[in-house]
Amino acid sequence: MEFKSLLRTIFYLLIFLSFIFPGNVFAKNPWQWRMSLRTDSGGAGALYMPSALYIDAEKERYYVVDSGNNRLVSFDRNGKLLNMLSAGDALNLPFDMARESSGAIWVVEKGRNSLSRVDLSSKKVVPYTLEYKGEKIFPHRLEQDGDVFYTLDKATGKIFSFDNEIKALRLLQCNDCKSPFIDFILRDETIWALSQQRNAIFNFTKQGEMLAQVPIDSKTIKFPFSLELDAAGLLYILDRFNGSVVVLDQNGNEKYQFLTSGHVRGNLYYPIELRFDPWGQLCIVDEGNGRVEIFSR
Amino acid sequence: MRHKIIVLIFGLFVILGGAKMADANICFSCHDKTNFTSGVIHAPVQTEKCSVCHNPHVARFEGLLHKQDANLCAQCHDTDAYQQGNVHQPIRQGQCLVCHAPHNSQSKKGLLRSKDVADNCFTCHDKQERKYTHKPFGNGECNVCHQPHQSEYRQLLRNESDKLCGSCHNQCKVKAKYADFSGKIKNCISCHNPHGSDNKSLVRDVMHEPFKKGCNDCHGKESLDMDTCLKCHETITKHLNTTHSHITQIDRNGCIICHAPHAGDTKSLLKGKIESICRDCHTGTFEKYEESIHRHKDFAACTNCHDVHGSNQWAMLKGDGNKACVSCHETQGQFTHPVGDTIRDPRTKQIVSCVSCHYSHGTHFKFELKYNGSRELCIQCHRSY
Repeated sequence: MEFKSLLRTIFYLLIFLSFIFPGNVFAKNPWQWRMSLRTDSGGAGALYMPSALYIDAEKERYYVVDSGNNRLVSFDRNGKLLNMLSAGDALNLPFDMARESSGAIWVVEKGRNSLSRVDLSSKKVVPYTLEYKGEKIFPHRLEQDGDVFYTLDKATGKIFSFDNEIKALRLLQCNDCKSPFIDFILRDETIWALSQQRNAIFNFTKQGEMLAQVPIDSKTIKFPFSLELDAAGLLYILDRFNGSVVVLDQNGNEKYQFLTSGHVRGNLYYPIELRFDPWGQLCIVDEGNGRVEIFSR
Repeated sequence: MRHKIIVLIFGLFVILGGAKMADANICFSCHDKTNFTSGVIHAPVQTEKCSVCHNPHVARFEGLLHKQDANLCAQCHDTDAYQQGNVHQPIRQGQCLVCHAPHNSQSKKGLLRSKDVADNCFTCHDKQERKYTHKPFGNGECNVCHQPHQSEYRQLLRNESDKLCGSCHNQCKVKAKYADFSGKIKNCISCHNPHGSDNKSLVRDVMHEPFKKGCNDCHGKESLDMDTCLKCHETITKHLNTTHSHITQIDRNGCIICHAPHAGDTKSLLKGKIESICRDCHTGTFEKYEESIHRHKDFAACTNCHDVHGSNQWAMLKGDGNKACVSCHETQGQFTHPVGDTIRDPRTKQIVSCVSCHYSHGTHFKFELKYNGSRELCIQCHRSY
């Protein structure tokens, strides 16, 4: 009888504690689905194999690179479809984009293996094929810091910077990483880059000094594809194979993971890119399901 | 009270003693002892402790075993040590008994099922009979180069391939043979087949055309990047300019990750079997396949469905989720569940295709369905049912 009473007390105590410290007692995932960026309800046909998201903080707009439809699609902050840009059907497999202060758009075009400057007013697309020391570059990801742009070369996994006139490419070599990268982000004048080959995330300065190396557990994360960093310093890794997001601290310890592979809301199918928007929401470009899923805390 | 305790102790003694007696005698009163005691004998059999592995009365597993597969062996053997690095497929699947006999064996070491090591290997692996054979391979000494359980090196090698070659082949003699070659002599298996070949010196069967002429077609130029290869293999370029090209970020020339630049055993000069090349990077895909109950029968033929140089489809499929399948499953897509451009998946508004319902590598459900096909799968879209 006394034993039963003790069990009952422990049970009520656990319930009480779960209300006081919810994050510590139950699962720690704080993210909730907020909205999807989709085009299918606007008569524009569904997104097909979207590959990247660019966010214009000033204009409060999302731009989705709709690779399979050869177009860029803009949404307002609430997910309302605004515009579709195909530059007079001149884009050839756009993959990633960034925007310079003049309003011109830079697009990675896989079909041309180029970085192309798109002048929206004249609908003119000027492709640039990049080379570094005589060797062809295969632009993959594109990030920007003001009017300085950074692109990841898929052939070498190296990161190059260039200005909006593409006069000279500068290699951002991480001296001690010695690793090809699959994705990267810019934070506080440093670079965070994801390496599939080394199962690690590297943080290094633009001068090449390595600041940190965070290991990734290959048993948990089967196919790391994209990364993000939140204000608290937690790293978010997108697992393309498992359709999940795994959150790590900077020692590589898993804090929690969420989402799973599938097609219904909250599922991912061959997700391709992970980015925070300026309003603290986590955006996941879900290539296989043709949408961008946005989660808020 | 004291009497009861004495009776209890005595009873336990009799029961436990009886169990031991049962190990020693009872089993062999029905099971012919000579079937278990020739050659090298497994320690529990030797000591007649059948109950180490078997339950004499009832068990959940075939053969009245206490546990299944490797879990049983792990009672005594440290099987965790075999799970590091590259792991031999039977070990990954916990099937120790593919190679080992549980009771006794005619092999001198390791209780192998066949007396000779090689015969054991050839129950799964091809014999590869060739005109010229590498001596250890010809002698059936697979374990001279390969580890049987796991290795930190590819192909379960005992060491890096060059070091392994150097352990028998005198480096001075090798250097003397290539006196004209100015570079460091390395990567022997790039040109030589370590098992056997129809060519002398075990040179692989198919030589790269420029290599037949000499080295200077490729070497001696400024760099050996992909353009060196694409200069001749122009048709591959269109596959590289795709959304999902297979340009790897390894070295400057991704081609030589999969292809041998000098000689190979097939026309495409692949560095090995396609599934082992793919597995090197896509281990998760293969592990998931092996864990699946229902599996695609041609899973190992990766190139049947995937355009391995690059494609504009996710997963580098050859066409969308329908086209990749109907190239083999001809009748599908015509009179089954509606699929194709005009049929939209209510969950995503993407076209309904084979991969809307099937995960083509393998799942726990019949026909490689993503969910149970009796109801769970259908109500994903047909909510009113």
